[in-house]
Amino acid sequence: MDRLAFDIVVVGGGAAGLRAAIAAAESDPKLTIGLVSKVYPMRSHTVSAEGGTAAVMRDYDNFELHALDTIKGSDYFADQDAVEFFVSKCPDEIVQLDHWGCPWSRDDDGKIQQRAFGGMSVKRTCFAADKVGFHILHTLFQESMRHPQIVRLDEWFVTDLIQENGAAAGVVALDIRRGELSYINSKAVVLATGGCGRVYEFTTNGFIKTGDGMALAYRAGAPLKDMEMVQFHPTCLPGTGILITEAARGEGGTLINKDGERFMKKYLPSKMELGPRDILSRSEMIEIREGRGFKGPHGDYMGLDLRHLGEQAIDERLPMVRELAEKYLGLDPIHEPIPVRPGQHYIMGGVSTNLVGETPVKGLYAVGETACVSMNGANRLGSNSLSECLVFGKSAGMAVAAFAKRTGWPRGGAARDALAKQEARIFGGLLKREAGSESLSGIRREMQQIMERDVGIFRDEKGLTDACAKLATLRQRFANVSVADKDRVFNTDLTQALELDFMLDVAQAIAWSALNRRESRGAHSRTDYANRDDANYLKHSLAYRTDGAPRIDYLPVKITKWQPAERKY
Amino acid sequence: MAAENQVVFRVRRYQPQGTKGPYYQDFRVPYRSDEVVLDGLNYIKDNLDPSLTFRWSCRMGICGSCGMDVNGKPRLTCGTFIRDVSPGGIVQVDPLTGFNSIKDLVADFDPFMEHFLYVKPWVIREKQRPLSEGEYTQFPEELAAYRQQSLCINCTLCYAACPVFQGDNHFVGPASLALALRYIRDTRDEGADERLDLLSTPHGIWECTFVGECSVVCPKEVDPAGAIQSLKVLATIRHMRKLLMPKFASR
Amino acid sequence: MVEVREAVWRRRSGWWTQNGHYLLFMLREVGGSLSAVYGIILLGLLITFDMGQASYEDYLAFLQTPAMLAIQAVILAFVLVHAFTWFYLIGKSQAVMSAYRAPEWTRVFGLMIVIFVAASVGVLFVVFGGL
Repeated sequence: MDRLAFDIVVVGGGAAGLRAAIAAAESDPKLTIGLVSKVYPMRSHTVSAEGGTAAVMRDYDNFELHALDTIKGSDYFADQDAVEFFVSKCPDEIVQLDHWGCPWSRDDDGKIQQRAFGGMSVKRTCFAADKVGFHILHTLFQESMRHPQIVRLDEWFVTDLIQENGAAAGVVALDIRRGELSYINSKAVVLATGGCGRVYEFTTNGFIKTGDGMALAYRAGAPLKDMEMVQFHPTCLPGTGILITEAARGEGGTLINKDGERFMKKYLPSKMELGPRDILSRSEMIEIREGRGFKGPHGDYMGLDLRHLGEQAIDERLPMVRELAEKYLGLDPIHEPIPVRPGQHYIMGGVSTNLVGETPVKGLYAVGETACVSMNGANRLGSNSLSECLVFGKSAGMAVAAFAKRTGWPRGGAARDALAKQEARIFGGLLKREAGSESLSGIRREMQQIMERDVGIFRDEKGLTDACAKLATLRQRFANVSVADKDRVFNTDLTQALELDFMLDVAQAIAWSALNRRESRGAHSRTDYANRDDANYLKHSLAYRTDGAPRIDYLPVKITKWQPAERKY
Repeated sequence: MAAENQVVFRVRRYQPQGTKGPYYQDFRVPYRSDEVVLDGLNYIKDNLDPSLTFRWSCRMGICGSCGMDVNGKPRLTCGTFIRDVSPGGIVQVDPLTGFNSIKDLVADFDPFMEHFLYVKPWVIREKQRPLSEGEYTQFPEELAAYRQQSLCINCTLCYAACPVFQGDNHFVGPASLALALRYIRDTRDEGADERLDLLSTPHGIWECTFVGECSVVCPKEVDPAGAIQSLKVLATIRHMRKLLMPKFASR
Repeated sequence: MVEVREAVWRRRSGWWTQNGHYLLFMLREVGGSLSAVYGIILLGLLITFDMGQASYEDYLAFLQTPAMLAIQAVILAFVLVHAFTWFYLIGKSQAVMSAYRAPEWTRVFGLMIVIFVAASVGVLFVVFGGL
């Protein structure tokens, strides 16, 4: 049990967390920053992002247009002040990453190249072949190593936030390697743990995306905003759920049904395959439901056709797409269309924050997919997410540094109490409990199936009510789960149990928020309330944790320049 | 889709808080033809033995977590199909060669993290230009010069394959050295001299005897073996320059 | 602070028989030593030549005995392995010469082999005084 203390603790080592840590370090060389991650940072799920990072870089583009595209894409649900702030900061982040060594793909004149992307009216997506997330993550991680004030605690799992008089005062974390719990005192905590895709059965997300930071904030009294807004990506490989980047469509790829027709002309003729993701995913599901999908061993699917792009273009701009198709499906996209179907990919919702990452809990910040500013509203445009991590990572990093400078150290009593509580819960409870009646993987699977079936692309009152009831039951049944692996050292059975505990909270927030939004907007699509209802619902959902069902409250959407209109493309 | 086949996973177990050393345990695992070794390990953990411990995350070969020895060869288990590695109906899974293991299939790759940091894997510049002046110009062929070495996912399969590292964990190793070359060749970096001094040491490039196995096992075709030999030439040229023409030594 | 007791990895003896690449590597390393041994054999020629015609001719005869011929054949084989793997090495490392477009290593390898053959033919020509 170590006595650890840092001015700032950042939980999560992906793009947002690393960017915040670097920004804090740069703003004051005397600050100590603890970067606590349950995996080594280069394993963070940022690494799998493929397509690109949006920013206004050229003369044919301007901030107004990027903002309008984003707000329209969000189905007029994004907070417009956040979007205006966001678009104005993106170009600097692209340049900053270039200065730190990110291998952006280049035009013949040596400038950073940009490509077309869904919902963007001009080519404003900067990219690094089709591995932008990998390159950005490695660039940030390697740059972070240049700052000795950023101290990394790799493979430490945060189990609880410490609060002193309600304000964040540090974290309690499990050193996975040694199997020891410690408290880490700090003046501020930044949550950057990514999304929660693993509450769903079919997701592009890696195993580690279990909504840890969202649940931590939720339990500390911060509200989770817009949790019902879950994005389903139109092109995932059936079976594995592996993501095929939107850039494949940006480069000219088309979607076809089993009759070989480009079915998007029926749903969105003006944009076709480059429409917003929610519209595309719904269109695919309708095609499948009406029997026009290809049949396969993992269910019905659509075809992503890249054959007309040619081998050279594919190898130059979409090499990983080709590798993935060859490896996991045994087919070559230059000869055959790639089987794809919609899958959970991102969550627009998250811990409610303002422009600089502050949550309503003093000293608690959130950035990246964990947070909801809201910049993405009811549907996120592709390539805005990495930009979001960078822009808000920086603004939160600077804000939390300023906060830490003017704030005193917590007293320490709260930390000791929090540690004792966690030791009792985890070592005294979860770990000690004899073989329970419930299986960890069984409960997890049930949760994922409920979410997939009832809180998926199409929702209705009955399904959502059912889901809420079943999730509440699962929450109770979780109390009977025991951890079979009794060895404290590197106990992934234990960490999976802790993750499931977090996921059950987050799943409930999603289901309840969805049930209470009786309209369709962006990615939230209700078959019983098919239209957008601005009169009653132009407001963000806020889910607060209680001992029973989540309490749902609302927050008006911030409108500045763009009056909500019909989302027509 | 029902599982069509069955195979035995022979898995290396080790509990640090027990008294015995490592041992093998057999599990019967059903599998489909499109499933990978990682799927088999997850089947065991979810259904047969929840204490089986291993690292994984992205399952698509980009995070680098799931490197293990499969039938004696270092592989990414998320990209290794069970049908390809089960001659005689047995798949043997060990933690990565060359590293101590913390528990079961989890390797201690602290030595790698140390060497990774040692090569100063960031852009070294006297002065960064202000953001307002925009990005540095870098032509496509300049990008192509270091692109290959920039693809490393830090999976450390190359360290597992390297007999030199196996014999001496102080060897800086293939991935770290390839990363050093990536920065040296990046036109935005000015740290070639600084890094070559760090690399041109007994545990650096000169410990490499060009076995070449690192490049064979690399799942991303980074070719660390070629990178190290290039570094040797670079370091030698620089050394000769310093000796004969000290004024022109720096690049 | 609890120190975790790790399972220490130990290399098995005979590790180099594990796969073809390791084996080739060991052969190459041995080949290097054998090149040195051959150097000593050649040194013997110089020494016996200095000692006089009779000694020299005795030495030559010794080198042509079946046992010595066999040994020299083995040394030649190892030296060839050593040389060819070094040609491979040159192919892999020369990328630094032109930082942007390295010639394919197969081209360099081929070039080395051509030079090797040409040089060998040239030396044989000189030694045997014409074809």
